[in-house]
Amino acid sequence: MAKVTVGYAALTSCSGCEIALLDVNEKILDVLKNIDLVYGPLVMDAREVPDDIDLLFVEGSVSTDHDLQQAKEYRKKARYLVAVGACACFGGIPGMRNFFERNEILSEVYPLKDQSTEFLGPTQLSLKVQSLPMVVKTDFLVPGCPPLPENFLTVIQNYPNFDRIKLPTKTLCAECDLNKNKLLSPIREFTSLKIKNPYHCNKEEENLCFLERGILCMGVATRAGCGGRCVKVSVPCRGCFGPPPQEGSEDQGAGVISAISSILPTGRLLTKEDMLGLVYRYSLSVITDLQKYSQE
Amino acid sequence: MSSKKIVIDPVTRLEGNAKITFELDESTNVLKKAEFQVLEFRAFEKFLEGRKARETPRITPRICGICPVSHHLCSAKATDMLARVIIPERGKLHRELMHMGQFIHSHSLHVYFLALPDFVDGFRAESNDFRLLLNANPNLLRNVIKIRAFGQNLIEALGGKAIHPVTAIPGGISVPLMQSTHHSLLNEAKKLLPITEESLNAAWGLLDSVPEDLKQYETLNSHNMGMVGNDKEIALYDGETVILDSEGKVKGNFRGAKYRKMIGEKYFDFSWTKFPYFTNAEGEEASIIQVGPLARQKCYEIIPTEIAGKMLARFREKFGRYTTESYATHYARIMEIMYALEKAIDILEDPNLMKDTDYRISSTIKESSGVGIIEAPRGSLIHSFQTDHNGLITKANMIVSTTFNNPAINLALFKVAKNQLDPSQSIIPDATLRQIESTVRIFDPCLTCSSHSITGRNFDVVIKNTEGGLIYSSLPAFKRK
Repeated sequence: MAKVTVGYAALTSCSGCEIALLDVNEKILDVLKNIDLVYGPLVMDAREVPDDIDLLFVEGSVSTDHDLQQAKEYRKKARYLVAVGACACFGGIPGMRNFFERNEILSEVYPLKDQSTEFLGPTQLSLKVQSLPMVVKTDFLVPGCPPLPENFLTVIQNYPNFDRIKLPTKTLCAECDLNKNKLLSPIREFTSLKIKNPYHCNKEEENLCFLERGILCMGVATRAGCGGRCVKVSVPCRGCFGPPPQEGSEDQGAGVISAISSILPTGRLLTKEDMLGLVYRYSLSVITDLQKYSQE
Repeated sequence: MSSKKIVIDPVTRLEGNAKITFELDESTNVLKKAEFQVLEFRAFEKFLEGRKARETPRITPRICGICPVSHHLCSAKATDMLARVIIPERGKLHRELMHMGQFIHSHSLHVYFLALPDFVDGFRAESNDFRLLLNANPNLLRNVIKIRAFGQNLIEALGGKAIHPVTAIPGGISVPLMQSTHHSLLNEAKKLLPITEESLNAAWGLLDSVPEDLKQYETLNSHNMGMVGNDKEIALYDGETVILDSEGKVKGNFRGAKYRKMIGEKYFDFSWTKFPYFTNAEGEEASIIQVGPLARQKCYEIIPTEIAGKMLARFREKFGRYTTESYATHYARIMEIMYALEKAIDILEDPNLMKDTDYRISSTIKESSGVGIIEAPRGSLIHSFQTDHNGLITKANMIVSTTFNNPAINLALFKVAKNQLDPSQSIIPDATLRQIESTVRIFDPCLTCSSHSITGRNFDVVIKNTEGGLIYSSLPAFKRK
């Protein structure tokens, strides 16, 4: 039987997901025995994704017309297309560019020039940053910023029956070891009257749930699967695994607000905190879907 | 006058997406332009506006997935300054140790996976990727995988995550290293010491054995910038940044916000691109500031660790003190891997690392301005933020290593193309194109880093001759409406 041909391509991204793939370390040598790695510009010389490639991983968000064209080409060539990382799945951190209009950004790029010229640089900036599933059909999503290295192996091992892969579907709270007392029981009072700076030390409270302490944590509306890697080292979750996969919970920010508004004085947050940059840090693109939201 | 184009797209074994375009005069085949085009753009400086400054160490790592630790720590240093706190010594040790992991991982990735494969078969093989090295010396590659894995494990142990770590916070570090992890890291590091020395010597030997004609990279008479410690020793996390001219004379030094006096960012009247330059230099080539392992080597006097110190002596015997040969960059990078591992062991053995003292102090950011400067694997990195009374960012400016090096990359590219492209031939052999690519690789440009910025959309360089005449420019095309 011919080996499965596998490729790795990047749209606008930080290359972190590709490093996560390399972080399987010596296992990469075993993997190479079973698959035929045919494309991956970071470590390989091949310049073009071959036609009829079996499995293509794509990291990065769609930020330019070049990205869009590439994404379509990848879809055409690949039998199975897998989006990896927060950028490809939900737009990721660069999706925060969607807080601004394209013209606003461009006019800052070229402040000294008269605005009547139109830039024809190497690539044209797209109106809004989009995720991969927003522009082409994807066969599987591997979330996370970055994903866990073993997730790549799982995808390769289960090719082409991705429905066999069981990634966690609950929220991060299910994986988090911090003590939760009030969060889980219906209460009338806020768990904390103060919204606290996560970087004020209070050693007594270190094992208590961040939200109960009054520290903003996105775990309540973020998909589990990372093993709680940030909360384990005493920093709150920022939502890099995106929203849980259930229908209706795509809007991660709305999920966070609805979860915390019953336990914290949310109104106060709106003036002091940067709520948008917190709750939509990784998934702003999803809610700026042009087709879906432009008419509303 | 019509012209034809030669395009290398994508340039492989680089961090990020780029292409190289050469433009030749159609009738004479003389090279007119060499463009190193970065195809990505992300506008970090713009969307940082309005974010909480204390969150920057958790946002800026996404500028680059290969050197996220440098961005993480650089932002953390900027937030320390914004909060006007001096972090406890123990917190600083933790951060520095994490940074050593970064150098081990990033440099070994570059040396063995991206750069060395070029030299195994001297650009002649059909493909020069790491599998060539795997076939030529499987043991070496296996060892390198171990070394790089240790770098990543070190980052993960200290930073929570190997890629995009999270523990550096304004005021220190969120948690100290666990006792059990500390022991296993120290054991592992000591075990790796001989393997690393052996692998680095193998790479050194391979570089030595490369035929002379393949080592002919271009020399650049630019300024060089790097960080040094109190005794003029190598410093990667904290220290004073110095700028030297091509002969090694100190032309400037700064810490914190003073960088603005030394480093200008100008617009050429015919280009839209920001262009970092040394304010105190005359002429285009001289005003370029090169950063990275080779530039650092010129700045520091000594490497205080044993094995890397000896490597430095060998290096200076071979190349001299202030070499302008780009090829030497590979050797300088190798020395830094050794230094990073030895330094990591030093820190792990430092009793203050595990002593039960403060590793963080409370911090609040109000209306303020703060600058973080650090040496990333690819060179000096600067993050600068201004905040309002709620600690929200009003202005962000970041100058990253690859942006400093970009003018140098373009210039080197033009020089090498001028020498290597044979005007009489209509088809350029693959080997030549690969050699041209390798010129870019020497700088280990991180395009994901350089394209973070509003102004990093594409890179243009304009070179004038000494009389001020234009000899080279890579202008973006504009269309009048």
